[in-house]
Amino acid sequence: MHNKISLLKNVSGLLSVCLLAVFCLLLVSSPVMAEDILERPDGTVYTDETTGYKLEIHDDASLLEDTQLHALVKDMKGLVKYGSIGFFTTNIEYRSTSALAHDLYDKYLWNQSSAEESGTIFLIDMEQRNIYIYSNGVIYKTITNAYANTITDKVYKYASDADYYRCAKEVFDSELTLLEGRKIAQPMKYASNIFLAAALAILINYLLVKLFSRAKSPSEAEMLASIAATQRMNNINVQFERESKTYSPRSSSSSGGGGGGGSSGGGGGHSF
Amino acid sequence: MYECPNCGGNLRYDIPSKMMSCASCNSKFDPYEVSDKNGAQEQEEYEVTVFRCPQCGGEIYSTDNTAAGFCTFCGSSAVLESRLQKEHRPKYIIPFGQTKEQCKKAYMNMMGKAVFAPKELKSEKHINEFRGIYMPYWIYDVQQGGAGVQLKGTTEKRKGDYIITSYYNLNLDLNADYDGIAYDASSSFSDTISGNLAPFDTREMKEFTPAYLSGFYADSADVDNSLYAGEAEEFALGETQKFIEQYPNLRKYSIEEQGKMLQWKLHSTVDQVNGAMFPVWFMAYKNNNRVAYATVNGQTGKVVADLPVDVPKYLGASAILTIPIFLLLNRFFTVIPSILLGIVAMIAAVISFVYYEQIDDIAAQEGKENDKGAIAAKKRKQRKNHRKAPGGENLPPKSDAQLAAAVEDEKKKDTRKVVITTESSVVELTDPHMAMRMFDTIIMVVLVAGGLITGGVLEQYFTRITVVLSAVAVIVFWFRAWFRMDDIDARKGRGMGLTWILIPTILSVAVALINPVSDLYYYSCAGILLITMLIALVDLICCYNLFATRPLPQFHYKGGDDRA
Repeated sequence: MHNKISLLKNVSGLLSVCLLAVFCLLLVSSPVMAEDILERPDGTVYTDETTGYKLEIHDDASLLEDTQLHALVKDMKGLVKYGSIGFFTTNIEYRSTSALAHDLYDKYLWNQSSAEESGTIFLIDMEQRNIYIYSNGVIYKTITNAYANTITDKVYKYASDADYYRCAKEVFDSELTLLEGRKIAQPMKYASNIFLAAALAILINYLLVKLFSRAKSPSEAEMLASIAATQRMNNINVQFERESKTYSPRSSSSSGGGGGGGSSGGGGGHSF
Repeated sequence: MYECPNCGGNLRYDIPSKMMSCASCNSKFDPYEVSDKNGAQEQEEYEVTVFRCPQCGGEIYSTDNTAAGFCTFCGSSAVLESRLQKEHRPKYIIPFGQTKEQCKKAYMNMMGKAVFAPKELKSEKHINEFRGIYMPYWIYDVQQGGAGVQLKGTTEKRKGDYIITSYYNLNLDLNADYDGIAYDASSSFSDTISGNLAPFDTREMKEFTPAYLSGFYADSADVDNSLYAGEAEEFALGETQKFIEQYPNLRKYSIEEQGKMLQWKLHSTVDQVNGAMFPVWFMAYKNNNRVAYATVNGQTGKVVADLPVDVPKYLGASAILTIPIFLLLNRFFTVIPSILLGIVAMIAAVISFVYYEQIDDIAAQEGKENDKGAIAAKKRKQRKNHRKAPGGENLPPKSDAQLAAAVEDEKKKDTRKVVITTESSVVELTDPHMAMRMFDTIIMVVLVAGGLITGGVLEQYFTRITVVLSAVAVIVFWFRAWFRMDDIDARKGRGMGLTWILIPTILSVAVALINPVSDLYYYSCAGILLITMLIALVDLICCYNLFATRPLPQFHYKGGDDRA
């Protein structure tokens, strides 16, 4: 019995030491954890000192949890060496998602650094239930409108399922893949293009067959040259008879002026 | 058959030497001397051997009595029945100037470019079947003008917002003669082929002598010589008008008088009409119930041939062409699914337009709607049948010209004018077929251009607008093709490839209007539409082959075709 009590005391003492050690560890690490949890990424999260490109997060529609935002920041950081990167969510009413994306880019990313113009943003518009990728400058040469459409076509279903983190992560992963010079899968594009190409090929061949099988009818000049024709005219007398005047105003046309300045990127999106 | 005076061998016309040549002793004789010796030169009629095909009833004749073992009209290999007959002699002939070897060379040159043509059409065995046939033509001499011709001329100039038109009286002495305007006189010889084989240089016509037919065949004239008088006058009228308007002192005037009024003021008359024989190398390629003709102008060497397509070869070439187009599309064409659907729908509309045009062309060709000679032959047959009917009081007109004029009048009743006005000119199309075709083309151009412009300006409405407009076009052209299909015997009961496009088109309209979020709907619609478009396109090629061939002829009387 005594032995049992002694063993229990020893175990209790060991547990107390362990608990104390854990508590001490928690005390040491708690300032870091508190910072991650408490400081929700918002605004300019990171700036690359060498390039001046930055990482912007504006989750105004509060679609992502803090931990998801932190994870997303990690995903997005790989892109900063290619240009400024932004993630935006909104639930405000605007004239169109593409216009909003353009304006957000201009406001937060465009011309904000001394680096060469380059940037891309991903916007989730909850008001119009659209997702949109807008790119500009160097990145736009890679993340073209076509690729923006392809990427949003691929990820819109995550937004439909309210998995916004996965949606955004897939967007930035795909962009990184493209910027690193690798390819992204576009199965539907290839499938539709192969049918489209086949239809166009048959149609083009048909038009060629019609064009080249058409026999050339002789011209009137050729017909005239193949017969014995005599045409003579003399004693020509022209007399003026009368004159008439018809009102026929000239048609006028004018062209409009040019557009304004600003960034000249582009993008693509998808409803969800 | 003409016998050689030296050895009694068979004399035939030799193209290179332009003389009658004996195959046995190689002696050469002038064709007119040979005919004189046979007493054929003075007679109104001359004796020929008529060869009749037991399969189609087609008849050709020759002064030679050796027939080839196949029919020129239907391409059948058969022993031709022969009989002697008297034929009315034409006034003129253009002897063959192109040898068979030259004809084959010209034909092969053309076939070298016809990459999709069946290989049989290029085989040595096949091209050896070219046969020299003299086709009958009517030669019209038209006279116009005289002393003191009075015409009205106008000039126009713009002054500010006004157009000043000045009117003038033009008095002139005019002499315009057109001798040798030729139109084919055989109802079995397609006007399309004869029109494209033209021109024959009628200045090189010689006085007809039967000796020229030795070694060749001939078709007989079976349409009235007044049938093309109006067309000959119309051609002459156009040339005279052009001559007056381009005359140095009159260039600035536009002639007011047109058509019948101009004809009357120019004292236009068909001075005389004569029969003539023109040389044509002729070959028929039979495939199942269709026949394709290849013809070579025996004077100039111009080739006019039906060019059917070898479907497997065509599809193979299309498959190869698919690869670069696919690569180009992948490089430059990435669109969102809804835009893809709009573009595919527009292509479907274009295909339906092309399909309808093809069906319309086939129906016009099969019904010989533009072949005046065939129309006259058809009317003549109706007239014959009518006479046999009891109480046949309302007899159709007697001559082919009156019959053809009746047909023209019927056509004019249905004529809808299309007037296209631009800043500088007014184009008036009175041919209803041409007018409708022009209208269709404008509609299609507006649809495609409008769709693309809409895509650029109103991106969010692009799919709805293009899909709905395309669906309207598909349905309209489907209906029109469906109605026209009744005029094509060879397609009866076979349906239309265009029908396949209908359902996915309607489905596309539903998807475009509902505008679902999921891409699956757009891709599915576009995919189904593309597959059905491929089916319709393959059927279009089969339709083209109907257009590029002709039904096997069935002649029940000399020179006539009961399908005409």
